[in-house]
Amino acid sequence: MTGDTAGALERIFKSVLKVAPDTEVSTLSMESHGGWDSIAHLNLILAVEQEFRFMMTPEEATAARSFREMLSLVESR
Amino acid sequence: MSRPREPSPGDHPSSPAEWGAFLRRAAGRLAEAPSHAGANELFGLGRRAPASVEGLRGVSVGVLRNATVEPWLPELYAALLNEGIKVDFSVGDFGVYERYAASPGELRDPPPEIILLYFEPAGLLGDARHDPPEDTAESMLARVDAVVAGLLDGTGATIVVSNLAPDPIRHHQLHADQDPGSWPQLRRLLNASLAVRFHAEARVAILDLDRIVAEYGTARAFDPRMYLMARNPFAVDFLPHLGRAFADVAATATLPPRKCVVVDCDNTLWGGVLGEDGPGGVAIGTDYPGEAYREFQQFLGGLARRGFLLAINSKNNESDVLSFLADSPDMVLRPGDFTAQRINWDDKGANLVELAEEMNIGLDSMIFVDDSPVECARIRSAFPEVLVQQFPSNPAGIPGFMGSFRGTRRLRVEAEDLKRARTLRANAGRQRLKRQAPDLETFIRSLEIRLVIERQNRAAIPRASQLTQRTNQFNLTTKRYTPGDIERLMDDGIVYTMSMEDRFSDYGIVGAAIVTDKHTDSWEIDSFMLSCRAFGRGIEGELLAAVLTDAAGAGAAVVRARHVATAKNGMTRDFFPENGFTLTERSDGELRFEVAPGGGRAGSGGELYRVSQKGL
Repeated sequence: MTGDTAGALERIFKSVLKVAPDTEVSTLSMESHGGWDSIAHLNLILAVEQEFRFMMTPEEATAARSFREMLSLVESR
Repeated sequence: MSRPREPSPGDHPSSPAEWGAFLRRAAGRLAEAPSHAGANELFGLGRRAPASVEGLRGVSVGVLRNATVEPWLPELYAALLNEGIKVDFSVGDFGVYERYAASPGELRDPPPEIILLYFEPAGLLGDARHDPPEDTAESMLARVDAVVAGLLDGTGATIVVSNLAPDPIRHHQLHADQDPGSWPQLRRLLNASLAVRFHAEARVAILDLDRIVAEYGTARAFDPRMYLMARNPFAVDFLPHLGRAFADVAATATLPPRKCVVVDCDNTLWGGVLGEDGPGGVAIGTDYPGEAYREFQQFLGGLARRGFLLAINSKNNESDVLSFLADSPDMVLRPGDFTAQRINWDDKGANLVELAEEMNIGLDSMIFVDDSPVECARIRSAFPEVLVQQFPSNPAGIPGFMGSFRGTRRLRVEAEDLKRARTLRANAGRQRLKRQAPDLETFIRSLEIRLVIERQNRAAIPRASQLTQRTNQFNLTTKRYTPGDIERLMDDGIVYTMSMEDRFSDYGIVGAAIVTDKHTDSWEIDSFMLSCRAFGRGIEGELLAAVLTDAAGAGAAVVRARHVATAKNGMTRDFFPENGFTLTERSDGELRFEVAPGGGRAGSGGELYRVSQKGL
C-alpha cells in the first residue's frame, strides 16, 4: 500500500513540478527545487487532495514542504 | 478515480509536425478522465512544444483578475486544446484592472487576442457585501464598463467578461431572499445589467459564470477553505467545467462559425426506424420516449430561428421521410425547415459533400449529428473539419446531449442572422419565380432589387467582420478581420458595405469591400466579398463600380486588386478581368490586376437595380 501511495505521489509531483522523468523525486523540497513556488505548491495540494480524496487543513498544507512530508501527510489520512 | 499518466522520455513527439495531434490526443484522454495532475502535465508539455504547431491555432489570452486564477490555467489550457486552440496565457496583477485598461501593453505586448476579466465579489466589494450601498450594482457596472471601454480602445481583443458567481463564503445569503438591497439580490441585478450593457458590443462576450456554477452545483463548485488559504474560490473538481465554458466562448471568438446542422432521421429526429416500424410505430409525440425526440426537434427549430441551416442526411426512402415529416401531427420540424436533404442509400460522406455544395457552404461550417457510432467515426476520419456529435442511443440521454451541444454559440445573435433565416423561407417563392422567368436579366428585374452601398458605416463593423470571417467562395483575398481590424482599416482606407433588399425579403448586408491607401493616387482593393445568399444576381459589379467611381472622384490614377486562390474561391478568378481589369502579375496562387478607375466597366449603370450611395 505504502509503495502504491509513494508511486502515485511521485507521478503527481512529476506532473505538477514539470521535472524530467528520471528525476529523483523523493528528495525534493520547496527549498531545494526552484520550480516549487507558491503556485506550484497550490497545484500540488489540489492534485494530491483530488487523487487521495481528502482535504488538508491550511496548517497541514503549509507545513508539507517536501516530498517526504507530503507522503507522511497522505499516509496519515 | 483517475491517475495521471506517467511521463516517459518517448512520450512527446520529436518532430514539430506531430505536436498538434499529440497535444490534442492528450487533451482528449484528459477530458475522458480529468485530473489536476494530468492537466498540469499537459500544460507543461504544451510549454515545451514549438510556438507554432500544425493543426492548432495559437491564441494569446490575457487574464485580469482579483483572485488566484493560476491553478485554473491547466484546465483552461486543456479545454482549449480540445477546441483546436493552443493558448499562451498572460495573467495581470491582482485587482488593478484599470492599470491594464489604460495601458494594455503592460499585460502583454502586443496585447492578447482575448482578454478574460474575472471578478471575485469579495475582492471587488470587500466588507461592503454585508451592508451594500444602494447604488452598488450601478457603481460596479460603471467600473466594469470603464475597464472594458479602455481595453476596447487600446486593443483589438475580444473581451470576455465573466459575470459574478455567488461568493465562496456565503452567510449574507441568510434573509436575503426578500431583500432587494442585499448583496445576493444586487449581484443578480448586476449580472442582468452586464448582459444588457454588452449584448450589442461585437467585441465583448459574457461568460455566464453564475449559470456555469449553478449547473455544476453551487455547494460543490466552491472550496471556501481554499479561498481563505489562497484566494482561490473554486473546488478542484469544478475546474474542468470552468475550462470548457471558457473554451466555448474563446472558440466562438476565434474560430470560423458553424452554419449548418446536418441530422440523421431514424433514432435522431424520432425514435425507431421509419422503414421498419412505419409512421405509426416510431416514437414522436408528447409522452416518453417520443417527447424526448420532440424536444430535440424544438432545439433544432430554435437554432434555425437563430440563422442556422438544417439539413437531412439519412438512409431511408426519401418519399417515406418527406411525407412523414409533412403529415405527422406530432412533428415539430416540417420539410420546409430543411434547406437541403440527401435521403437515399448512398454513402453519408458523399452525401455530406453534396449537401455542402448545394448550400454553398464549406464542410468546416457543418455539424454532423447521427446516432450511429460507425457513421460518426467514418465522417470524423474522412472529414476532420466537420464537427461530429454522436446522438445518444438512449432517448433519456437527449436532454444532456442538447445541454452540451457544441458549435452553436454566437457571441451575439446578429440581426443579420435572423434575416438570413427569413430569407430562406422567402426562397421558396423566389425559386418558383426563377422557373417562370424567361431569362436571367428579366428574372433579376422582376426581383426589384434595391442596393444600398455605404462607406465607413461604423454600425456595420460587426457584420463586415462577420463577412470576412464567413465568406469563402466569393472572396477575392480571403483575409479574416476582427471588428477591431475593420475599425482600424477605416483609418487609412475605406470599408464599403452593401445591403440588398428584393420584393421577397431584406437580406441585410451581403457584400463588403475594403480599400487601403485612400490618400495616395494608387488605391488597393484589399478585400472584396459577397455572401453566398446574394450570388447569381450580378450585384457584385455594383459594389466594384462604387469603388471605381470613388477612386476616379478622388483623383486616383490606378486601382490595384488581387485574387488569392484558395480551395473555395475558384468562382472569383475571372471577376476582375471581366470587369475591365488588366492582369499585371501572376505568381504562386496569386493574380495581380490593375485598372485606371475611369476604364472599368463594372456595374449596370442603374439598369438592373436601384442603387443608393451613402457615406460619400
